[in-house]
Amino acid sequence: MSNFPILAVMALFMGAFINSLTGRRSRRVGNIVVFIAMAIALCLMLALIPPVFIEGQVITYWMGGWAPEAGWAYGIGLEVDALSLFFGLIVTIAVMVSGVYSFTYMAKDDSQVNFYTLFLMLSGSVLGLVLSGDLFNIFVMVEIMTFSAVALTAFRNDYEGALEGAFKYLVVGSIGSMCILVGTALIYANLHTLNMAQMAAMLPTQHNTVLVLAFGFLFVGFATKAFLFPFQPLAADAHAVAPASISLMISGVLTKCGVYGIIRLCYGLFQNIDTAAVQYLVTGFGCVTMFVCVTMAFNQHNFKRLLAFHSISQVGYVITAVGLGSALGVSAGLFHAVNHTLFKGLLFLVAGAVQHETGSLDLDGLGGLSKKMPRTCLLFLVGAASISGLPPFNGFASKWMIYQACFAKAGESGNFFYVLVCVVALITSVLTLASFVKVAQSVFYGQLPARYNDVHDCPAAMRAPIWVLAALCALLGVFPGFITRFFLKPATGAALDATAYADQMLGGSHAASAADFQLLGNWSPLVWVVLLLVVCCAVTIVAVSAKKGMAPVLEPAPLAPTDREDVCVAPENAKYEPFFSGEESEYSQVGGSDLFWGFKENWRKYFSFWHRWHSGIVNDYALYGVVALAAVLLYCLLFV
Amino acid sequence: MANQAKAAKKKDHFTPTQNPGGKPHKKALGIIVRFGANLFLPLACTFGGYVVLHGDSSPGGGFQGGVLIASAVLLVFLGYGTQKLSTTFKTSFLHNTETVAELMYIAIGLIGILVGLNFAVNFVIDTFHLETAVLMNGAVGYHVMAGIGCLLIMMLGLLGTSESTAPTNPGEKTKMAEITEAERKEVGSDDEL
Repeated sequence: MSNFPILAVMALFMGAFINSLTGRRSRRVGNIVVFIAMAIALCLMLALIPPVFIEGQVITYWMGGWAPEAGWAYGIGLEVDALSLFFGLIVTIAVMVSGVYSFTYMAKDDSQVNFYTLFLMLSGSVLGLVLSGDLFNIFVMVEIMTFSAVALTAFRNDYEGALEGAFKYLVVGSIGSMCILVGTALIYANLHTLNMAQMAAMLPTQHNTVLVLAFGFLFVGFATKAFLFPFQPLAADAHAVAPASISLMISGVLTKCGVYGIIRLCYGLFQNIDTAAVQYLVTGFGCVTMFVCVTMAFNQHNFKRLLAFHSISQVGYVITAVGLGSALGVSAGLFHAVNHTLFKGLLFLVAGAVQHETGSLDLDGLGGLSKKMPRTCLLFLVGAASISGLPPFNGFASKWMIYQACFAKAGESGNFFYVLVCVVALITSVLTLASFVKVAQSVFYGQLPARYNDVHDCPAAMRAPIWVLAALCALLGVFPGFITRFFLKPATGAALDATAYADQMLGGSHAASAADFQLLGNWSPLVWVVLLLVVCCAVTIVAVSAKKGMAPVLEPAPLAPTDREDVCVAPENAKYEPFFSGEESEYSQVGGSDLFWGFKENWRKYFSFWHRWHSGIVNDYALYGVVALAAVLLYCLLFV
Repeated sequence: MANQAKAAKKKDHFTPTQNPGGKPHKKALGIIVRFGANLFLPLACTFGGYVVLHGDSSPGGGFQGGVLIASAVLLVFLGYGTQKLSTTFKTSFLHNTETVAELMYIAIGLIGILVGLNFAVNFVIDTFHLETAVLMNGAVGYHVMAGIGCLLIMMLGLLGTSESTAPTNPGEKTKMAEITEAERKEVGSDDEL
């Protein structure tokens, strides 16, 4: 049993190397090897569920048998508590889905052997990161993860901008890795240990400037890996060009490493999440991230770029909830983390299916695909409903928990900041729904362009992994009590109980505990589904029974000209006439990008600002990263 | 920008052995450089092997020793140019054996689990008077040697031909995924020069 974590990591790495050896001659053998490696890792993680989640054990493991002596940890250790295993499960499930999808999706690409080798190394490094109990080991895994992800981003290097996106990711990702290394070095210089359990035992009693700096460096490093606010342009550039299965990995798995790192850092190592300054820092980062990214997503014309911004926006939710510092907040964050992997993976895979069949990701060029790809469209609607927080899907359950956590925090502390956080979270959710209406209109509804007349639905082998994700989305949404009881509470307990983490690793006897929390209000997703259906019926009845006739004629208001093309709307444009005149036009295609033109027009200064901010120049992005690092370090020195 | 500067610097470094066009030119190779390469090649290999073999008990180890041995590739390139490089080393063989070395490392590590101890545990195989740490060091040494060697051969090969054929032809998917992204970028910026 104690060997399972290392075997799971090594299965993925061995799979990578065996695939590199055999896959060159026969792709079929290579695929079988890849599948077996992923299946072994998944089964080993699933086998750890009963002891860790139900019995509350913490599995510790010392490489080479170098157990600690006299309270000092010399060797490299693995420590799997409920929090690590929670993320380990997310990782292995996402890897499985992504790998199975790739078998069909990547079938026409060449040098697939390199793709799968890098893919399995990426998977192995991420799994090693979440299971590791050693801070330097985490840095090594972060490096493997970043470099294989960069190479995979540029894998289809015939795409325009693939090398450019990968290069940006490489440069700014390296800033993040550097931050983690510096933070680790500062801690090592002070405490003479790299073991996280020992740090958890020693750090809270020591408080000096160097350790505060180390906290700032590590926080920025993990924030880079999660693509939080000043780092989000990288994710957009990388996602737009990466293969869809790699987009799933980057959004669903790599950002989770950043989230895991921040949770471990604030709750496990430094245990300073109780201080108001750290709560402001983490929650503030999350809040800004979720709002800026969702408004950026509004302006995108590329399917996967739009999804990328939404992905980061949802990670912002997770970080916001985690930063609240309460048991309910951590549970809500963890729940949203797993949900984010599911629905965002689903949406990226749908985007990949659309790209696979039509060869395009351009939101302005696509349209009407629901007639040609009805099954894919259905899956997309499940994903869109989940991410927008519509019941009965999982996004609703976790967002509800996040709102409740914010409410509870605002009520306890009486702090206006948390009221604001809650409002921002709600607005972000509404904007998310709005931009998915836009995507649905652009891609699946509206008129079908003639060039897509012979498009077919994607192969069943590609749809099957998406169905798995859709089923999980629905299951988690309908039975949130189940996952809360068996997964979230033990994981939250592990996150909050740093003493148990330290003691178990170093040979103490403190038992791990499960956290307990109460939701504020009664709620059931099914009640909300009924409500939604009733409202839908009412709207339909009103719409059907309304008098046939024309709307009153309105004079189009003269609009001020602006300097931006996609925000500025020329009033004489014929396609807006249905909005103004009420005259019956023969056909007027309202493009998905034009659905919310009034909103964009009113906010054009805001959008122009962010449009200029995302300059696409890697020097700028590196500068933003360094400025963020400086700001966080200053904040930590002054307030933490 | 920094990459271009770096690539340019690298080119300057090799100008004594190459004409400015970047094509291999046999006549231009100096006898001193060749003599130096002949002298240092066995030394580098021997010292690298020493560092690998004593990695378990002295500073150094598989990684450092492997890099030392891989410097032989550079010496051959400096002394004899790109053409000799491609005839001396067989990249596919190096690549495959590198993978085998990686697998060997994990397999030796797994022996620890099979005998009921932890992963990567060090124990002595009595019949051969051999510690597994030495074996693992050897595997790492070979892996690094082959890996860095492959990397150098690819980079130097592209360096020689970067003017005549574009290394990152946008139409075809090259075998570039094997090279890490850093080298890819260097190659890419090299192309733009």
